Amino acid sequence: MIALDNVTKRFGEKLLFGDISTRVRGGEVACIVGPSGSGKTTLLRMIMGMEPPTRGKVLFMERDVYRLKPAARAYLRRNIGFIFQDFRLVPHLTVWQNVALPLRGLGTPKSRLNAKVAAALDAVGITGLSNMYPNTLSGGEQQRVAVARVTAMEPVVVLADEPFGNLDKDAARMVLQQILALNSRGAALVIATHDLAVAGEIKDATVIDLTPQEGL
Amino acid sequence: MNRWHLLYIMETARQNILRNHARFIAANLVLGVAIAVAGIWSGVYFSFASQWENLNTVTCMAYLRKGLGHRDAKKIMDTTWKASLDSKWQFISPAQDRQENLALLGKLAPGTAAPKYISGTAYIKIHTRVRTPFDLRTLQDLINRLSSTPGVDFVVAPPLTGSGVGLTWVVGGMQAVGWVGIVLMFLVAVFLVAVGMRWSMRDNAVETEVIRYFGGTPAFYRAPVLIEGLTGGLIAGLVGFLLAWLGWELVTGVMWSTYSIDLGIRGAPIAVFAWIATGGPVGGLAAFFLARGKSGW
Repeated sequence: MIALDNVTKRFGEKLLFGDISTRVRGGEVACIVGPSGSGKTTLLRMIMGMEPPTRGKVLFMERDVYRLKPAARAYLRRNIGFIFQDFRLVPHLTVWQNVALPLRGLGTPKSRLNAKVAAALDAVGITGLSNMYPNTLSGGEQQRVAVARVTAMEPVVVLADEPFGNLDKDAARMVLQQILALNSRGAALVIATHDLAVAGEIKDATVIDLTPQEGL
Repeated sequence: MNRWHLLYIMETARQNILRNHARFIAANLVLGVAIAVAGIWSGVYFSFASQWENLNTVTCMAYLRKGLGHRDAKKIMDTTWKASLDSKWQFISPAQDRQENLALLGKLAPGTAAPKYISGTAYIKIHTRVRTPFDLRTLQDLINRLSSTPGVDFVVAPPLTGSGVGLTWVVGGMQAVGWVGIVLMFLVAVFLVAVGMRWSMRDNAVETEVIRYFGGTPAFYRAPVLIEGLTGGLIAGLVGFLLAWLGWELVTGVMWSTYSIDLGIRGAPIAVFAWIATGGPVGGLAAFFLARGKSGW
């Protein structure tokens, strides 16, 4: 599903990470770990086709992402669900509208859209919040809305960038279960986190460690 | 792109406009006023231009020595008026146009011409278009030369200072100030609309980013703002058209009541106004590209 082939990223002279190779198939999980500033978000953006590597190849569904034109990369992203650390919910849209937003952007017919949004809200247990606005919700609830937004898309890959960074322990555990539920339905899952305890809770995960090595 | 995409784009554009309606109305009203001014000005300019030319035409008369004819008149004009301004001349034989001769003489130089020149004398009638004060100076030199040319008894010309010079400067100044003003107003209006769009882009930053992350192409997330600009531009064009119409009625009303002469103005120049109204969408489009700038948005 996703393959990184000797991927290196430099910003000027500074080496962010080098020669990373891994492969994540459908139903598998990879954890990108490392401290802040180690390049976790950059690596996720690289998989999304939004940050070209300095060297190496990123393959998505067996296609070299950076050999594609920008519009084709955008189409490829329609198979990816992204969960942000800060939720990125649109403040002037209701929970329902937020979950529906990517589907509307993808041109999903209304009847199918309604069914998918309802199912996604139900899957993460926030059906009762559908008419509320994000600023009236707690952090945990907002992240569940973000997970529902991804669930509704039925992506083949889920990327999560520090999804528990703004949550307390209980909320983090609940959100993790919901993200893993997506994975159990066959989606490849890549989670970036600096919290090793969270990474430890995920069974059979490939770990991509971006912790800078001394002397580098 | 299917109809659900289009619905999303239209709905987002509608929400953008409704959310910021005050700013949207203000910016596009300014654009509308700019278009109206441009419309009125171009209408005035194109309709009055020929009339101004006529108002700037100086007519003078050169009375010939008794017995000279058309061939002599041509010779005189060829030698004196070679470096001519934009002029037309006409030989008038003693037999024709006595009444017109009298009327013209009385108008140009009342009381200065002796009656003997009016009857039984041929004359040359010269119409010269005067565009700049330099033309007036040249015209004065030519008249002096004509006066001292053998065969010419007497030259009658209106005073070549005052109204002619004043009118020339006024017309030239109005043209320049008018066009510069219109361009400046249009640029300011486009800038204001662009600022409005920039705010829309900022307000929609999260939504745009979500759409980008979930596979929206650049054309797709730009479309609502582009439509916002074009819609505003269309409204501004319509407002400009209506204001131009009303302004035209006002301007021509004032002209009619101020000048007794027929300036040949016949109703509002619809075609000109309609054409100028397309400045709205063009302004909206320009504002979109200005708002995008180099941000790569």
